[in-house]
Amino acid sequence: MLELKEIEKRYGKFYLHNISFKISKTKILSIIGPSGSGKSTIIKIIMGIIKPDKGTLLFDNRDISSFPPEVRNFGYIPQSIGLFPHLNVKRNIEFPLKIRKIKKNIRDTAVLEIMKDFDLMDLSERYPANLSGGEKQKVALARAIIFNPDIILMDEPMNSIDFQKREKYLNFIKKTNKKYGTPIIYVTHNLEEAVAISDEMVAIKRGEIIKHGTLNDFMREPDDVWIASFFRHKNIISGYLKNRELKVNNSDLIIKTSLEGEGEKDIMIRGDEIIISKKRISSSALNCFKGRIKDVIPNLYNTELIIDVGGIEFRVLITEKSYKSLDLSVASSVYLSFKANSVKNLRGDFIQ
Amino acid sequence: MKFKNFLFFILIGCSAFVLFFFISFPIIKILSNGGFDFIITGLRDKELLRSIYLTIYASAFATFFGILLGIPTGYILAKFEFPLKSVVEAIIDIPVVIPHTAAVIALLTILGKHFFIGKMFNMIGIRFINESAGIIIAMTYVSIPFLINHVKEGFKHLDPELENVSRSLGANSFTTFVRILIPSVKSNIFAGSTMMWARGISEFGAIIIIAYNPKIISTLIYERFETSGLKSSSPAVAFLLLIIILIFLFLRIITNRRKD
Repeated sequence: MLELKEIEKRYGKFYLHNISFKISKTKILSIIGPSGSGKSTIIKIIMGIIKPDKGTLLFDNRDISSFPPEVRNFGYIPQSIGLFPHLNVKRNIEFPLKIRKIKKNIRDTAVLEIMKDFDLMDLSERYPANLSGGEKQKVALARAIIFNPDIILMDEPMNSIDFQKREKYLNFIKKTNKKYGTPIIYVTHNLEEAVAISDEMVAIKRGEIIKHGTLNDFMREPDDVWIASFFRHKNIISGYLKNRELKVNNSDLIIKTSLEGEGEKDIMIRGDEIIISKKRISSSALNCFKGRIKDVIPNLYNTELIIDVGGIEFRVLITEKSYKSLDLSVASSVYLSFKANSVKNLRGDFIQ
Repeated sequence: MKFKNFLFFILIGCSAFVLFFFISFPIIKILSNGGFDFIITGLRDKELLRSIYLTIYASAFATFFGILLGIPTGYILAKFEFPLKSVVEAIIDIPVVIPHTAAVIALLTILGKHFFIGKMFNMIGIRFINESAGIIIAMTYVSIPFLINHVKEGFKHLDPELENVSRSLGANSFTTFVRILIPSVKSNIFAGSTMMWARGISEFGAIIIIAYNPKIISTLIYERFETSGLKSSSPAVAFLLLIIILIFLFLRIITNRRKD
């Protein structure tokens, strides 16, 4: 339905470029990225407040790039929530219907219905100054949904809500999306919020999309140091890649990879893709290193072993059962094996 | 430590008291001179009543024009960046910072019958010299910066996303301006208008140049003081003060109610 094609926008040194993605009906798509990465600019381009220098915006295959915001039929909830301070809750919610010149009796019924649905009846006469962050959020969502928009755009809306209450309102947004079926584009710098709410995610850094996919894609193939570190992938190693071999920095360790090219690289090996054994095993895994267990961290569903291999720390996840059957303990010597294609290339840096 | 705190509060308390005394004592003195006879005298003084009426309505008209022109100007100055913006802002403040007599003489150069703007107004029957229209335009000229600056501050501190939200909800720029932005800065508009209106009422220097007649209250008081002295002008001043105090008390009550 909504498709961004090769959008570009330049502001001095900041350059938003190659922005292309789609959002399908009924889904929640999060745009994640550090501050200043360009995610709010994308939202404002979708809204029609900022005109892109290049690229097209298609809605149901119709080019809407030149449409002003008021005819796009997209709801918008900004970081500040944007409730009109001079209107009470009821009047705020009613506003989009009044603008559309909907008859008073139809308007009243619609407002009443949505206020009941959003549990706002007791707040009807209150003004925004007398509402809590969560209540404001609900009113803004009710106002954004009452006119049956094609998409709702939310730009870091949780900033005004206490950290402890965020989960509750994220669930509320999710429930509303399921009930009304309105797709939502949710912008945040907080990956935890994005993970909690999204069906799909677009990660953006320094004006460029670094990954687009489902939550599962982000977890399994993070592609980027920032995303990998968020998902607590610990085995992020820097080194010099040549002839598909990575010479690890500050170590003699050489890791065989399936990666092409030459130069400084950051790579990642998932902790559950490393096999632990007490003796060297013959397998198709091209990498096999001897190491010493430095620490054992029991988790709820598995055990994390911290293993020192030539001064490099590997974190390996094994099941509780394997841990016991291998009779492992701190200071035990073990062999770590992993395949060359378990070594994933990571782009970027740790910038937040 | 306690003594220092005590001394601090005594000092600021004394400063506030001296200032309050400095402002209020002349007013109390002139209002209490010779009992409340000035009310009866004032109500019987047709020239004084006419003059108060002219002052209030001319200033109200000036404020009305101020609102019409000042709100869009304040919005532009708050929202947009453009070349020479600070020069524009400085020019808008000029009528406040230069002597009002000078400001109005400058105004007369374009409203006089020798300049095309003055000629155009003359053709449609609007004249400014010794006319109510002259009083209104002089009041507007010297007091509109108060309104513009108040409104500009209001728009500056307004959440810029309100406009975006309103447009996303279906309102065009004009509707957003009228139905969302203006009501959101209504307290600034109210405060600016009150200031402008009050400034208009107290204007003397500008008015005496453009329209000695018909006499607004400050011209009348000046004339009475010049011709008959303090004793003759005091009842008129006391009567005017009473009316102004009542009006401003009323406005303050309204403002406080709106805040609640």
